Amino acid sequence: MTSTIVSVRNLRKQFGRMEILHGLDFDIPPGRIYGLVGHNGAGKTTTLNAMLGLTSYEGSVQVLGEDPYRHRARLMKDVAFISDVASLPRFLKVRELFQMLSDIHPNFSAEKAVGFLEGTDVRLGAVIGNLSKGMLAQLHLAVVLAIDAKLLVLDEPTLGLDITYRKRFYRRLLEDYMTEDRTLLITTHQVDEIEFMLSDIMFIRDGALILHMPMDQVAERFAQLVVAPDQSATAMALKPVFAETRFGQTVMVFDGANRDALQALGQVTTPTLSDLFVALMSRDTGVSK
Amino acid sequence: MNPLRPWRALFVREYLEHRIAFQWVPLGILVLITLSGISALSLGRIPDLEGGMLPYSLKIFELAYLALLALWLAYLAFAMFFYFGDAFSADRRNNAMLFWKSMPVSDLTILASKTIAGLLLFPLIVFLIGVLSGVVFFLLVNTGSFVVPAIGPIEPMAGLVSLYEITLFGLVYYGLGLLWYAPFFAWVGGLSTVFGRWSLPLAFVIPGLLAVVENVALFQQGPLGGYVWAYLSRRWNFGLDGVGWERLLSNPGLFHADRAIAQLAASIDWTQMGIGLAFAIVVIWIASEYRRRRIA
Repeated sequence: MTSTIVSVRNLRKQFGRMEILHGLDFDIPPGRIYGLVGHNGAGKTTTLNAMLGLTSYEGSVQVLGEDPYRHRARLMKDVAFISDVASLPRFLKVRELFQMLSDIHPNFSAEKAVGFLEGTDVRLGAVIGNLSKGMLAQLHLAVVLAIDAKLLVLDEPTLGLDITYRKRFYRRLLEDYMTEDRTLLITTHQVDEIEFMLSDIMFIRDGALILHMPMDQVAERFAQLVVAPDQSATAMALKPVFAETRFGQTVMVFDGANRDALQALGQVTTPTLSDLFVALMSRDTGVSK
Repeated sequence: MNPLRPWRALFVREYLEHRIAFQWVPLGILVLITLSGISALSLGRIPDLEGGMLPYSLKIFELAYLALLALWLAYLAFAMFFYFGDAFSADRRNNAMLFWKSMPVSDLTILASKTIAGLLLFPLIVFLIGVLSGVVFFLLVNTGSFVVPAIGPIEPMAGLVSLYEITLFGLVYYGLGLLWYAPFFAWVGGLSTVFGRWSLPLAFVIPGLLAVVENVALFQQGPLGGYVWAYLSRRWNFGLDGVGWERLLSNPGLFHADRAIAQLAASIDWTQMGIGLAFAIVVIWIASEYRRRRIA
């Protein structure tokens, strides 16, 4: 078994004269659930595209030991991805799609796909072009979940789906799909919805990774402080990475600060991913440097 | 996993996506031809056949069957022109590129499957419908011999032999014709990969512009119209010339496929055939490399 599923070294990508990715370095080991989070245009999709062999790049990318750009077709036997849920062939019926995938993909199970569609309104005799956007997403997710892949990459997989289906999807992803042999990389703007399932988090800003760590270390490293009314100046002296005023309260986020020292200045909690996202990705940090 | 299964899936995909043009429309045309033949016979709308010099029924059938196959070939040529102009960019237009990129098949395999479907699968379907139209006409001529006794019925064994001979010649003619024009269709497909449906006019505009530029640069230094124009004009023609066809069709005896095929083979520039096929393969490979770099 490969010890590292994805290995990226000095990944750079230029569009014309503009450099989009500025030398990313990271490894993804097996059995982990990674969240890749960033603003629109931060370079998430370009990074994923490089990993999936969909775009050329400078630097080194190895996925399951293969160069994805040179061997995309071979790699896709063990990698499944959704980059756009509206990309299924619209002229096919659902049944025809499953039959075709059974022939084309050695690791696809039509039986599993049918199982994943249970409880949805997607019928096997339906023409894909006639399905609603939500049904298309459900069908595409059923297709990728029915592929026995070592790496599953989901780029905004639940875009356009209602909250009920989103929750059900993530639950099934965890219960029915994830095993210790599988690795999942997921990007979404709805970070709160996936926070519970992530084992690792990567924040990307302006083409550079600004955070890459296991989720259990996030709680150790970052602290959020709701500052007591008279302690603002003292707290600011501890150099928060972010500060803002919410409903009359000053909230600060600290990176690597001593929690005991913070306890004396107000209420200390672990920031949620969305709090951390705002803290680390905002151009205006509310902190003078 | 059987390595042919992905190819089967890709051919089925092409068939499902384009069956209207290559199956249902031809079948509809065949039904119309059949209905018009039946109505002509049943309503007595064949006054021209009742007087004058009439060839015997088997010859009528042979000439009509050859003409039908020629008409089906013309239909096929038009349909294929639009197929290659459309299918090679269909995944981009339908926003399905990322789905196909997520499958364990290379871009070259996908474009090769489209090319093979265009040059083999669909022509075979149209050809079979053409053969069916020959069978229909065979029955119509036989029935017509009762309405117009002067032409006489077709002797069944001779009729079957004739059907076989013309079908064999038609099959060879279709096959060689498609191989001859393969570089043109590959050219349209290659352009479609880059320019989408604009490939349809560009397939003619680009060589036309080349010919104009050549004429401007080398005015009257080469053959009439320039080297490009002269080459393409020569390359455009396939098969028997007018004299060859006249000799073949004016023969009062029965049609012999072996003679016709020998005559056809002698008329083909086999070196150009080979060059054309090599050109087609190179164009499809370049198109696949272009597609490999595209995700939308």
